[in-house]
Amino acid sequence: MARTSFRQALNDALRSEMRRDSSVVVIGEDLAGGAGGTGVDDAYGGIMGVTRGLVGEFGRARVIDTPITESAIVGMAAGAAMTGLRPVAELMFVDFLGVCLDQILNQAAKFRYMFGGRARTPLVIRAMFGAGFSAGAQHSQCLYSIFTHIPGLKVVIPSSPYDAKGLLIQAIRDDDPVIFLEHTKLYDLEGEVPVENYTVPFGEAHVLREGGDLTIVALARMTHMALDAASALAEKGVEATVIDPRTTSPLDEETILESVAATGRLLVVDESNPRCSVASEIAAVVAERAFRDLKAPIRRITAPHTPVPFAPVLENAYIPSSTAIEAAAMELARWS
Amino acid sequence: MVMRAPLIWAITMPTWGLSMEEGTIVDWRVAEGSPTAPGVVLVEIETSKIANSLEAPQAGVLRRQLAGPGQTVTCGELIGIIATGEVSESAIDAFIAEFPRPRTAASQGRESTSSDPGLTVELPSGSRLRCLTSGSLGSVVVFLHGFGGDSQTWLFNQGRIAEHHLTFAFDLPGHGGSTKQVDHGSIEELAGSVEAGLDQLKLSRVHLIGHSLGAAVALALWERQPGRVASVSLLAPFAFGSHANQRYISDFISAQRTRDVQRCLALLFADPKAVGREMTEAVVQYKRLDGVTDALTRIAASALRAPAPVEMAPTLKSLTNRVLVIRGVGDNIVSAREIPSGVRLQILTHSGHMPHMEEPDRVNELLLAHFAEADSANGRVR
Repeated sequence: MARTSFRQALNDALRSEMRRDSSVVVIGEDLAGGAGGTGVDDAYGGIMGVTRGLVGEFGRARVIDTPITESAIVGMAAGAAMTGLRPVAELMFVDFLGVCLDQILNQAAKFRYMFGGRARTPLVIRAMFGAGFSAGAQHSQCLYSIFTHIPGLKVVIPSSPYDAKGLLIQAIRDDDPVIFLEHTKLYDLEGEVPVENYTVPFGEAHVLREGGDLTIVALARMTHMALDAASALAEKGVEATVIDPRTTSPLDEETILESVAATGRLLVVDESNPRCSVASEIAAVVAERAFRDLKAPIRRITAPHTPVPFAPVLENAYIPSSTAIEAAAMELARWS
Repeated sequence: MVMRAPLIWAITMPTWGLSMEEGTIVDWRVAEGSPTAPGVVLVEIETSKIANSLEAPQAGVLRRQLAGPGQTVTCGELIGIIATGEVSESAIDAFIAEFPRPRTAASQGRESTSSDPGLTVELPSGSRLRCLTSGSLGSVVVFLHGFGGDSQTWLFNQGRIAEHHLTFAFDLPGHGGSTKQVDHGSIEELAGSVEAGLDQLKLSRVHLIGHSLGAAVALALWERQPGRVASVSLLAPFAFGSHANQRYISDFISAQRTRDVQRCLALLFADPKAVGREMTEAVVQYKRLDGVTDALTRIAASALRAPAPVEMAPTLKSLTNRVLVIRGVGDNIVSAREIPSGVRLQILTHSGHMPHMEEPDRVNELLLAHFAEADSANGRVR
């Protein structure tokens, strides 16, 4: 175990898989750079520095810088995946997936199905997402619900450095297209990460905290808000279970249902806009399959149905806060 | 004349293992005002790793309970007071007021999670053997864990033994922080790696403690190098003709999800509720490491499938008095078989397959007495 940042955990995962398997390549804008490179190669290492140093070890043939053309990045990566490579494409912001959505939802997601299981598409698309940096409405969205909606895609949203490394290694080894989303505010988060390689399986939620009074399901950065709220609630005598699904497709419904069976109260916290969100999906699953267990109405805490504001004060008001989570949880715990 | 001998004894939150910082009171087993005696269970305590009970260190009356059920207390902080009947209430109040508050990890300015007394031994074969070391005095004690475990299994034991001995708790090949690749995974192979580790550490004479599979490794090591081994203590040993529970082994190897791992671990204990979330999580994280499933599969096939040999090696038959066997009555994992004559056997009534975790105080005292006896016998021989 070593104390490692979320950013470094992703770098470790890419580096160790590139060492283990020569078919793994990274494709994106400004990915080259950092330790081991010279001249123009001694650059950024990706916009968040996640690919820093890879070009020095693996060279330009496997660390492929592209023009600013997301459709080229994803098209190239999807084709390479079908023809035997394991590409990891980086798209800076998830918002930019808009310009290459056809390649994802009509092409990569469909290959295995339409070719009768005879095509594999071991493709990973990484992108950052989320509000909190005043980056404006086109660089701050949480779009995982769009990809979760599409059969044929797997969607991963890590919340800790440990999960970031293990889930990215799992994503690279997976034979289906994986959308791997990294919350902007988590890159500097530190935690204990094994030096050795490991995989965290898709479709198994992580129970971050156990309590008998209510269940809070939270995604990505919201898990940290939910844990803060749970600590505050514990001081007031309310014990919350906090569950991080880790992947929204596949979704670990069983862990959520088991917890709701014990607590009877569910709060879902999601930084996305509310309509057709993952929060809505989780609420629907529980309403459908655990109606008899419920002692109170299901609550969702999400962003409002608006674009992400640029003004920091408004942006702050937009993002679900731990105080809002705490208040809603308290209301649920007392509901009778 | 006034006796100044300590008539008031502090009961503090114990530190079990190297990483425990706080514990939660589950329930007091002795009521305030009731008499107690050494070995009587005073209080049940839960840590994030495991639940355990704390025994009274002294005879006397439990005069105060200073933390109630559900309360979480820093290690070293007062949780109760034992005193003889004649000590006044005010004297107890004064004792409590003067009792030094423990320094927490944070106040000591260290990173709470990265204190690491571990060392990595590089073997001539190129593989690494990881071990936790503690203590500096006395003779050398080497701990060998069981199948799927690691040095953390000794969290209730190593600290106590290290008060009197220099201790090394190894991670066997394929386990913990050691190299995951094994060749065949036979007991001989594992014993050879431990032997190479002892060579690197220049440990020429050791007391061996082995749990389950580790007991088989300890016996194999002893057979390879009879002169190196001062005594052998075998806990729930896979030895002397016992069978390993094949269903448990295959379930443990295939368990991926946290709840499946928890179900497996529960089988190890007489009280299945002893398994904490942190212990389960640590095993889950271990099982996800590259190479672990393969290593466990090989070890299970080559070391644990057939029953353990009934007989001890002929060269060791005259040395059975150096062997201590400790078993729990509720062991679901390794079957009990008759042990060779001359071997000392202790059966613990509240333990399953993990007596060193389930009845640690008892096990620690048995171990320390066994080492002392072996050391003095060895001294006489010299």
